[in-house]
Amino acid sequence: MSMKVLIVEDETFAMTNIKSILRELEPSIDVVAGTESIIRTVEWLRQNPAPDLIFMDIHLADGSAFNIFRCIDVEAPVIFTTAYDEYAIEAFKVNSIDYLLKPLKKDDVRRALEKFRKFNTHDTPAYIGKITGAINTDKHPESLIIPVRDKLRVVKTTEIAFIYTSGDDTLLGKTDGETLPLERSLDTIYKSLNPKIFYRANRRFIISRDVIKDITVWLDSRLLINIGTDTPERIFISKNKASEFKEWLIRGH
Amino acid sequence: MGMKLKHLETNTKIIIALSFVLSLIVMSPNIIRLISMSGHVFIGRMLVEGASRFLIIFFLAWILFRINLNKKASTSETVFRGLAFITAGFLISIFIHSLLGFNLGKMVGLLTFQFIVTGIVTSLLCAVHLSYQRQNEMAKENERLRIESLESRCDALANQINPHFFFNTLNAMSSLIREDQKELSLEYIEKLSVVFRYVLQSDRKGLVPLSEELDFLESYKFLLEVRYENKLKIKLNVADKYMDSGLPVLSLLPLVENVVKHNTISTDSPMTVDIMTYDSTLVISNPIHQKLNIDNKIGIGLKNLSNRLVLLTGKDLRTENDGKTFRVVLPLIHTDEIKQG
Repeated sequence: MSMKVLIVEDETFAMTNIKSILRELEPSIDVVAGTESIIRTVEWLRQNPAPDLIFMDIHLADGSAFNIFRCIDVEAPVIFTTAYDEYAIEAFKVNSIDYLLKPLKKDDVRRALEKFRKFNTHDTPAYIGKITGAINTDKHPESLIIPVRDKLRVVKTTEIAFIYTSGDDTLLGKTDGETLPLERSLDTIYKSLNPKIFYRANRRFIISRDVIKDITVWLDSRLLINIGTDTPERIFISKNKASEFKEWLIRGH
Repeated sequence: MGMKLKHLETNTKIIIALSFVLSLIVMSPNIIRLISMSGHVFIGRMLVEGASRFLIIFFLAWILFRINLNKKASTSETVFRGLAFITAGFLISIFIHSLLGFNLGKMVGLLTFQFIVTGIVTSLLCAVHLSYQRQNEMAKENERLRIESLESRCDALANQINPHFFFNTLNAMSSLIREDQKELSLEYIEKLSVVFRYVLQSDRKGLVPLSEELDFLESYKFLLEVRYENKLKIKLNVADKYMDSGLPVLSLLPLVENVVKHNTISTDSPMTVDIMTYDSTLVISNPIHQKLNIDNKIGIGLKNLSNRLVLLTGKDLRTENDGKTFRVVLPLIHTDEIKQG
């Protein structure tokens, strides 16, 4: 049963270095891929089954590797590698997140492999949760990172009008009318948005306070929200939620 | 007020003891006389007079010590207050003297002498103490400044040897050796030592000729191009006539580091840095391929360089950014403009 490993590293020699070390320690390990940037890593993770383990350098060609966790849900345990990063290392230590210092020591890599061999797939979400917790210094980020084709789009939360899911796909609607596909569930996204500005209108919509133009009360006491830009469906707030919504609108939370 | 109280706490016992000893010494003629005249009919009154004068001198000494040790008062204030208290004590003594019915004339001389001596001795002792204290403080201050200066030099060096660069370079070297690339490894180590030597020695240099900076850049460039393979290229286009022109030592290092720090350097997006001379300036330019960094600390390295430039040459650098290309323009100082030393 060979372990499938993804290596995320932007310096070529560092990549060959860790591959050599893994080969020396455990020839049966299958390095399924090596990616050098956030965008390439996100792309690979979307298009391939999750590996058993990821070795990830903190500094990648196009930015900090932490951004990967802001884009998509990572479904494999990650061991970070870094040459020097006081703050990140502190955060790792505090949250018991595994990391290796460069230049890599063979013994350290061996110990890491042993630890993650015993890792259960059930343990992974909790472990990733620790990582995202350590990364998110600010509870409500000012922008979302959205991988779109071969680019990474940065959308400020002030530019978000609504987020919609049809059950299969999720869509982000910007205030200028543009729509972008999202990789994450409405529940997950809602967690990182500011509840003072964003409201979970119903199971399909999250809306921004700033775009609400008017509210119409229907005969069956549902509320129809008009946000000025086109939406895939109409936005209704159920009779039961109507008063809660009104309170949120007035009070601001 | 607080200062006075503090002095009291630390020096109280010493001041009291000194005042006592001083009073004894100053009153010694009186004490000797009293002992020799123990059988005298006026011995009672004489004892009272002697005791009161002793007490007056004791308190006077104590007050004078406190006044003189008060660093906050100016010299004229101290002198004025001191004289005021001495005069007051003197007058009180005379008053008690005549109150007890003694003849003033004989005693005035000794009395005056005793008060003057008290005044002089207290101020002398305090002056010596204060000057000793001041010396101590100056020595401490000098030591502190020396340590600070060493620390800041240390910091400057530590900041120039970028730890990221250092450990990543070692990691690359580890890989080269693992791959049995002997020649490349040896050359790598050679270039690395050139870089370190230049950085460590940069401390004492101010302006250096462009040729020296370019030599350093050659080694630094080698290390970077090995690490980034064909993803990073540094192209030089320097006219010979500018080789002797001056610029601050380690100008090029932070500029190249900045490019690497802020731009994406990948197989999909390789980076070329152009360094060229133009009209008595050195231009470092690169296409902008901005990294995705939510937290961006731009400008510290650039600011430092700018400060050094202004200090060393009086001229400043210029940056140009049109969204596509980023350029830093450094002024080159002609040989005849460079001052000696």
